[in-house]
Amino acid sequence: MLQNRYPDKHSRLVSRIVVLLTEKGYQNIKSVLSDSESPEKIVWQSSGNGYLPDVSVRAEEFRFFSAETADSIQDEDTADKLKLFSAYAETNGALFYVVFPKGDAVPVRARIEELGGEICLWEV
Amino acid sequence: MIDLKKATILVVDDAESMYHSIRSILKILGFGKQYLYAENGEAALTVLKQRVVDIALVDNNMPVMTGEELLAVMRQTPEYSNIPVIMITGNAHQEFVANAAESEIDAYILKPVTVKLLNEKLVQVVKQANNPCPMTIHLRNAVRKANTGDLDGAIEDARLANSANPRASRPLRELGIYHYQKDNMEKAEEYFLAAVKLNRVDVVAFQHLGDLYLKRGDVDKAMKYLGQAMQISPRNLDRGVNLGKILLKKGKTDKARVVYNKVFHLAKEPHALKEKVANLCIEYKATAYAMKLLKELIAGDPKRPDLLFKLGKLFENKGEYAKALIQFNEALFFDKENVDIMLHQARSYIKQGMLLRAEKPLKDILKKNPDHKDARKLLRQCI
Repeated sequence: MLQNRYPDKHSRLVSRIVVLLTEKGYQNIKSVLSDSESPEKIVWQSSGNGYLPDVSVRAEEFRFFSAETADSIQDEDTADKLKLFSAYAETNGALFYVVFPKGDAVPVRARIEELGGEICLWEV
Repeated sequence: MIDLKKATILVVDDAESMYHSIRSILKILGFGKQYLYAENGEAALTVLKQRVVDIALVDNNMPVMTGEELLAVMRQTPEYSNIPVIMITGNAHQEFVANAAESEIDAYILKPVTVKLLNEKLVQVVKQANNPCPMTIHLRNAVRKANTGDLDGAIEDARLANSANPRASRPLRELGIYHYQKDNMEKAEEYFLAAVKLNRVDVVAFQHLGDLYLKRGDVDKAMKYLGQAMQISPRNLDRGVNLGKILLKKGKTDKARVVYNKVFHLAKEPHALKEKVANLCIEYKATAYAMKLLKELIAGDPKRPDLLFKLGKLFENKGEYAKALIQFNEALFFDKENVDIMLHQARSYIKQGMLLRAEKPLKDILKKNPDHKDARKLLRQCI
């Protein structure tokens, strides 16, 4: 599992996602927060290696979320994780979101554009 | 032969009072047996179809069809091409003189119309019509032959016209036109150049030179001569717009910009032309120039949602979603129910990651049209 190097900011962002999804009426929200059921790990079929989404929710379709900041988005591991999540979403008809705080919009959008793939952006 | 005393005289003027005063003058002079009236060029063409007219007195500045436009049609219609026309105008500018030459006007009168002026011009015009000079006779023959497809015969008559009056540009221009029609571009070029050398306002020769160089692919020379044609007569601005379009098609945006800047500089009302050019630039992907023009148009008319929408879409295509949203939001302020703008607004919100904001326009679209596939697809991405 990818170790988070920016725990405070990251945790706040994950909490915010959970709150917003709850407000929108979603149930069965899973998150990496300590008081929540953990989302299912998504793995590369070839190697079995993979990552945990920060939040996931199952409604009409499966949606899962990765909370990223201006710093975390630049990490090598993050690129690998986002590629895996994007490929998974595309193959399984799911929706994958990179969620970022308002102040980090420019670097996050730029990096996502570089990486390409089926990634929805969500500014919170 | 025209007998001035028994002539049928057509007066074309949008002000009926002008017709009455001209008719009074004609009666004082003892000219004309029958007087016909038309309120604009289009109405005059109807009169010409129904009646035999000996002389036409035409006001230039009229709605629907101007005097110049009427003249151009008359000169291209064999039945009316030899009717003497006196143009009445308040404009002594080079532009009018150039256009008059283009249409082969017989004479013009600068307002106000007086008994003395009308007498002089009518006598002069009828004398010319009854006793045409050799050049005129040869040119008429040339035009008649060219109209029946006898270009060699037309060239021969135009040569005779040139010999009859070597100082006139029209025979040279006609020779250029007939050679151009025969696809003999070298000869055509030679004659057009000779015509413009003799007459610096021979706008038709300038236009043909522009077209000829364009056909040859010599864009710089085409720009030079069409530019001069535009300078002489803004009636040629459409040619400038078309030249710019060709340059845009060829991807020569910088040169198109030069042409268009000249067109706008010469146009009395550049607003409509700018809009036309902006649309051409959008069509041919000259995005930067299209955006510049749209910004200028919006600055002059900030309440046009269609212009705001177009500019927004250009920003959107460039991936500049925040700027696109400013335009879409402004456009929707003036056109609240426009589904297309709402869709683009929502798409830009989504691209920005502003998913919660994208929901409203998408839901509004689906309220109006529950089967709107694009809106439904985008709404799926919203939270």
